[in-house]
Amino acid sequence: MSTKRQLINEQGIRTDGRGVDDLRPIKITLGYLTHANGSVLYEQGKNKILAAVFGPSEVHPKHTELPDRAILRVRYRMAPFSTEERKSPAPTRREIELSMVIRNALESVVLTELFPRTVIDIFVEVLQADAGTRVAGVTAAALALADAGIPMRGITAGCAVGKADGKIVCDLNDIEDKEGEADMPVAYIPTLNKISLLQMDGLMTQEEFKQALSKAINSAMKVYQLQVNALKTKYIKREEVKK
Amino acid sequence: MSITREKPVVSKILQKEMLELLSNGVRIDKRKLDEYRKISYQTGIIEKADGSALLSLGETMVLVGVKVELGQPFGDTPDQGVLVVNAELLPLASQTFEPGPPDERAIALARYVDRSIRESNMVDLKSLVIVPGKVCYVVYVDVYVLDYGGNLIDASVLAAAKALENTKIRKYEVDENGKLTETENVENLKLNDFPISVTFGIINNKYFVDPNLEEEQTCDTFLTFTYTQTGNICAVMKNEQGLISPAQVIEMMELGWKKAKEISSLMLGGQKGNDQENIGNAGS
Amino acid sequence: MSEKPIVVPGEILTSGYYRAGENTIKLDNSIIATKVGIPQTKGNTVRVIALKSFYVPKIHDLVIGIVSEVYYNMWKVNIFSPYVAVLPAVDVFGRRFDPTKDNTLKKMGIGTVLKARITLFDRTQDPVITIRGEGLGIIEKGFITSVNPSKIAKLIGKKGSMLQKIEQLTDTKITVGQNGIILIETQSIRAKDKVIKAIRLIEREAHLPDLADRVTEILKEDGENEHEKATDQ
Repeated sequence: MSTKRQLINEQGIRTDGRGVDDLRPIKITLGYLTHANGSVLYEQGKNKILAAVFGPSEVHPKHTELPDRAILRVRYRMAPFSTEERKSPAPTRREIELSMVIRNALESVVLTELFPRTVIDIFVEVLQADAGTRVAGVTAAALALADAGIPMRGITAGCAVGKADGKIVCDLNDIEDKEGEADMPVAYIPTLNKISLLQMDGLMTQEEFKQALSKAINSAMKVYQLQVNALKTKYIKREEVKK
Repeated sequence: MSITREKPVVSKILQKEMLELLSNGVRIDKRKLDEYRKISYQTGIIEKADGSALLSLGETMVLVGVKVELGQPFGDTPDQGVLVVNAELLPLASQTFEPGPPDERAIALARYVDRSIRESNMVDLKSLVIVPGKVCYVVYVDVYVLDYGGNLIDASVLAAAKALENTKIRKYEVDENGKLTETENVENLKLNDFPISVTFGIINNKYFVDPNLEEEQTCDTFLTFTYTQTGNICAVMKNEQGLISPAQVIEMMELGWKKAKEISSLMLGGQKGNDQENIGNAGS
Repeated sequence: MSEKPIVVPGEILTSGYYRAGENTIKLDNSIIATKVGIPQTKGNTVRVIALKSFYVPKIHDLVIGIVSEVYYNMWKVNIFSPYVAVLPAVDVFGRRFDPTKDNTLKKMGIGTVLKARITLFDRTQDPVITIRGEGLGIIEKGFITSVNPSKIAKLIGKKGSMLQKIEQLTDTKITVGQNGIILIETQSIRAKDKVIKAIRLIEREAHLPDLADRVTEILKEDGENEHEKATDQ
C-alpha cells in the first residue's frame, strides 16, 4: 500500500484494459482428463485451474464414512510454479482453509444423501494463480462434478469482486488483489438464488458492501452462463457427426 | 484435504423445539433473535505475556496471549512490523476437539481473527519498525479456546482485540552503528481502530446473533461481519455448508452494525487500564 | 436434424402436478434436473436421461465384476459402482461350506472375472451377488471393455436391435452388464476391435439421431478394410 500505483484511470479503464464490471476472458475445457470421472480445465485470465472428481466410491479409512450420506473430500493446492515466487510444496494454512471453504461451498449442492457410506473426491489444482483462485476453484469443481454425472441441486458459479482506487470492480486481477483496498470472493447458485461462499477482507463501507454483493452476483451470473453453455455443448459435436 | 465432518448429535426434540421457538422469534435460552449472551473480560491476567485478555461470551471462554519479540520485516514490507495470529482449539474445551496440530477449523478461526485485526488497521504496523528492512517488532497473537459454548469467532476477535489493547512493548534505542539497546521504557502498542465482529447463525432461513452451542450444532450456516469503529466492514466470512439468500446477507449486515455499536461501547467503555473486569450485556 | 435440448443440474423442467423421476428432484413446486442430460416426460413423470452417469446396484441386475479381495468366508468383487459387492463363500461352495476344508483363495483368486447377479442391496449394506444361475459364473475367456452406464440403453437398442446388429456384423457374442462392463466373446482380435469401435461411437453420439446407420456404416467400412487386408496377406 506504500507505493500506490493507479489501478483505474480517468476513463474507468483498469490496468489490464477492462472496464470495472468486465470479467477476464474465461475458457472452459470439460473432460480435460481421461481417468477422472469428471474433469475440467478452467481458465480465467491468467488463472489456470484444473479440477477433477472421482467417485462416489468406497471410503478408506472406513471410520470416516457416514451412514446417511456421501462425504466430500476436497483438496485445494497451488503448484509450486503457480506464483511469481516459488511456493513451497508443503500445504499452507491458506490451502487448508480454502480446501474447507470450497468444500463448504459445494456440500449444499451435491445430493450426498443419495450415496450413503461413500466418498466423492474433489481435487482443485491451481496450475497458475492470478487472483480469485478460490472462486475459480469452486466454479471449476462444480463443472467437474456435473461432468462426473454426480447429481446436484444446481450449479455453483463463483466470482470475486473488490475495491480498487475507491471503486467496486469485478473479477480482480493479481495487481488489484494485492494493491486494491478489498477483496470479496462470492459463490452463488443462480437457480436457487443462494450464496454458498462469502468472504471479504479489506475495507468497505456498508454502502460499498451492498454494491459489491450485487456486482458479485451479476458477475457470477455471467460465469454461470458460460458454465451452462460448456456443459450443454460438450455433448453436441456436430463436426464429428458429419464425418 | 478437507473432509466432511459428522454433524454433532442433537436431540430431535430439542431441534424441533428450537425451530418452533425461532419461528416465534424466541430462542431456547430465552434470548431474542438479536440478543447477545453476556460478555465479560479481564485483561492483563498473564503476567509473563506482553498482553492478554480472558473473555467469556456466555459459556464460551477464550484466552488470548500476546508476545512481542524482535524480528525482521518481510522483504516486501520493509517499513512494517509483523503480525502473526495462531489459534488452538484445546481438547479440554470440548470433547469434539482433538489433540494435535491445528485442524482446518482452528486455522480458519486464526485466519479470520488475523483478517479482522489486519484489515481494520487496528495495529499500526508501521509503528513497529525499529530499523527499516532490518529490525521490527513481531506481534504474536495466540488464541486459546478454553471452553467451547458456541460462537468462537466473536469471542476470539474480541479477546484478541482486547489483548492487543492491553499489550506493552519495550522500547529500544538505536545508536549510529545500528546497535540496539533495551531501555526501561515500555509503551502501549499503537492502535488505530478496534474491530468488532458479529456472527449470525442461520437455521431454515431464520437468522439470529451469537449462536450458543446447541444452536450452533443445529445451524445450517453462519455469517460473520467484522466492523471498524466507523462502521466500515473489514472482514466477512460465511462458515459451514448451508446457503443464504443475498437479501438476507444485506439485512444481516445492517443488523450486525447495530449490534457492533452496542458491543463496542461495552468493549471500549468503562475505565481504561489493566486488570479490570468488565461485565456487560450487549442484548437489547 | 433437430438438436435435443440438453438440461443441466438446477434447471427447472416443469412445475405443478408432476412426479420427479430419475435424475430429477422436486424443489418447492418445481421439478429440477440433477444431472446433465435430456429430459423426458412419460405420463406425469418427468425424468432426465443422463449423458454421463455411474452404476448404482439394483437387485436382479446382471453385472460383470472382478474379484478384488479374498477372505476365508467371502470374496469382495469390484462391480464398478460406489459400492463393492460381496460374494459369500456359501454361494460358491454350497450350504455345506466348511471354512476349515474349503479354500476360497484356491477357488477364485484376485482378478477372477465373474458374471453375477445382485441379490441384495440397500442403503445400509453393500450389495451381495450370486454366481449361481443360468449363464452366471467365472468368465474364463473373451474380452472385457466398458461403457458409461448411461449409454447401455442405446447400446442394446430397441428390443436388443443395436446389440444384435453389432453381433451379426462382427460375428461375436456380447454380454452387457448393467454396470457397464461388457464381455465380448470371439476368437478374432479384429472383431473385438470393431465391437469396441462401435461402442465408443455409441458412447460419444448416443444422443444424436441416426445412430444405427452410423454404427452400421463404421462396422461395414472396417469390414471391407479387413477383407482387403486379409487378401493382401
